[in-house]
Amino acid sequence: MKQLLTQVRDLGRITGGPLLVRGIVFVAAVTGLLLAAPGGLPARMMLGFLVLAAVPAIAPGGVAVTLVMLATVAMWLADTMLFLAEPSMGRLLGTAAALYLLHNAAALAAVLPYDAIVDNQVLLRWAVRSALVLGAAGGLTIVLVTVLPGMYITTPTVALVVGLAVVAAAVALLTRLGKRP
Amino acid sequence: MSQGASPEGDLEPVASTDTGDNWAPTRALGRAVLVAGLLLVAAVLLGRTDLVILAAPLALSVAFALAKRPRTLPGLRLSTVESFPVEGGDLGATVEVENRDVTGYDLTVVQLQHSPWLRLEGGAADAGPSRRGGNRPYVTLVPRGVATAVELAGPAVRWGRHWLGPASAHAVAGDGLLVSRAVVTGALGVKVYPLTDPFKADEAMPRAAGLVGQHRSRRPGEGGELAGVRQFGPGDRLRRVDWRVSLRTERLHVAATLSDRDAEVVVLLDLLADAGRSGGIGGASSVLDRSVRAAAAIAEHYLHRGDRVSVLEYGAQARRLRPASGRRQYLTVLEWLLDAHPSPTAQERGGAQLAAGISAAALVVVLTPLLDARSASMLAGLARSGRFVVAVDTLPSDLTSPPVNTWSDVSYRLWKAERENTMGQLGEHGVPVVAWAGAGSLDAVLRDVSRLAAAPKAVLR
Repeated sequence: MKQLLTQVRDLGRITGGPLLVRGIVFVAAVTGLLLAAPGGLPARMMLGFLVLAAVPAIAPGGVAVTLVMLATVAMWLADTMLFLAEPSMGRLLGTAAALYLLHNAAALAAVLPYDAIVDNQVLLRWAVRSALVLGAAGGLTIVLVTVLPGMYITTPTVALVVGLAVVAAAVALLTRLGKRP
Repeated sequence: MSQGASPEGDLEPVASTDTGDNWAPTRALGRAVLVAGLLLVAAVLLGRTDLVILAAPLALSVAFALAKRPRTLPGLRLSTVESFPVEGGDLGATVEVENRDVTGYDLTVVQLQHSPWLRLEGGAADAGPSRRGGNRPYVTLVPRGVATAVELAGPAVRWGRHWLGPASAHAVAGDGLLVSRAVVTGALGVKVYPLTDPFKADEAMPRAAGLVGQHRSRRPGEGGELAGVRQFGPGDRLRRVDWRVSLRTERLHVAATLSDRDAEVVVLLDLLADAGRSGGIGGASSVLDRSVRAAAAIAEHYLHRGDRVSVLEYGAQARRLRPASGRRQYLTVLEWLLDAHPSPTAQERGGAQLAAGISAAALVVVLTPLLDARSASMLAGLARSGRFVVAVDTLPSDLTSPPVNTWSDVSYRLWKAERENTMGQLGEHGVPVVAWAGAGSLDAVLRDVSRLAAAPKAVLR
């Protein structure tokens, strides 16, 4: 009881900056889930999305963020593979942006103490860098759409192996970037 | 944000070590790589371009964020700008974070631990009042090669030796993907002197002892206080001749004066017991608070008048400050009072033992809550030894007993009655007990003590 009272009292200490970032986490999570979800889902499911999206906003440093991102991707795959939906480019870009914003806002929220007094410059810098990444990703998307023949490509086995090797190399590079001294 | 603070009381900055484990990846990095990797693998296996597009921002963000990786830890320095604050006075502290790396930090989380009696608030120097708050972490931007100062200011609400620090900081870089090890400074000691309650005593000292001073003594001599008019005698100065009386009586008369002398005041703090809860300068006062503030006020008053003041402690530590006068002694008394803590002890000296170390002509002002029976015995012992003793009751008037059972109220009233009885008995022994009330508290009592001093007295030897 005493611990609960302390937690309730702590809620009063929350400041605007961290609250804003956590709000962005929530909105990005809800948007991603709604965009990726197959159409015609019952209203109760939507309520479940709201609850699910609230978890990363409350605990941005936990595994909930990863789970929500994977849930978004799983729903996207289900919609496109099971329900055979053909998503529009806007929906695809929206989902990609929501996934990225969920990840990036959660990364920021995880390092911001909930009761911290945050300098505006910190949030401004974060917003500018996010916009830059989204802009670069948008450019890459245009290139991919132009170069590649379509959404679905039938690949020969050799191309599959080469593609997997490229992916493995990319993942190894990203991991190394984080772990190098 | 302000750059480059150079206040007093610098603490050495914590040296950044250039080891590889200064920066650690956060869970966000693992998450981004995992999700992007899964999406890309699925894209290749299923031959889906849309999954590549979903993974693109995540992969790009990791590459973009980690293109330049920070290596060194942020430098951190804690300093204070106020050296000698008084209770209620403002204190300033600055925490300076320096980025000596090749890349800018996304943010730095700075936290300063400090005594709860220091109500420091602040933030970045350009933060508005709405963004200020007490005892919170401060998140600030530290670009490459720049030092950012977080400035905190606020009142010190209670006297004593307080701690300011340690300050800690950790930096975040690479869009939240890398976090540095925490850098911690040492703590600074801050001395906050007691605020002296306004106190003024106009009455004469019972027995002035020295050769110079501002008190009128009981002895005739050169001075400013008129003692009477008497016939001219050998040795009298001509400028003392009272011409009006001399003309009327047709004999030379001179105005006789009392000599001006200084006196020794011994302030005795009874630290055997404490009671009440301290709420700082604007709140409730404990016994210790009242004793210390009253001692500071009494010392300031008499030292300002040129008297010699010494301070004694009636408790386990039995500290003693030698008698002296002047401004330096006042500062020494304030410093001495900072170390006053309740120190109960099983065996304490009696009044006669204490009196052995106190000058016979000194005025002994005992600040006591009279919570311990030994305090009353000590007062009576001092009086029996022929010292001029005034007891100042420092028990807060608004002190109430916490209700434990139905008998609590009755027992509290009984205890109060017994205490008043003790005070009455002390009065009969020639120890006036007066409640501390600031200005003029001791005037009436000092008048009585002076009268007693003038009367013949039987002293036990």
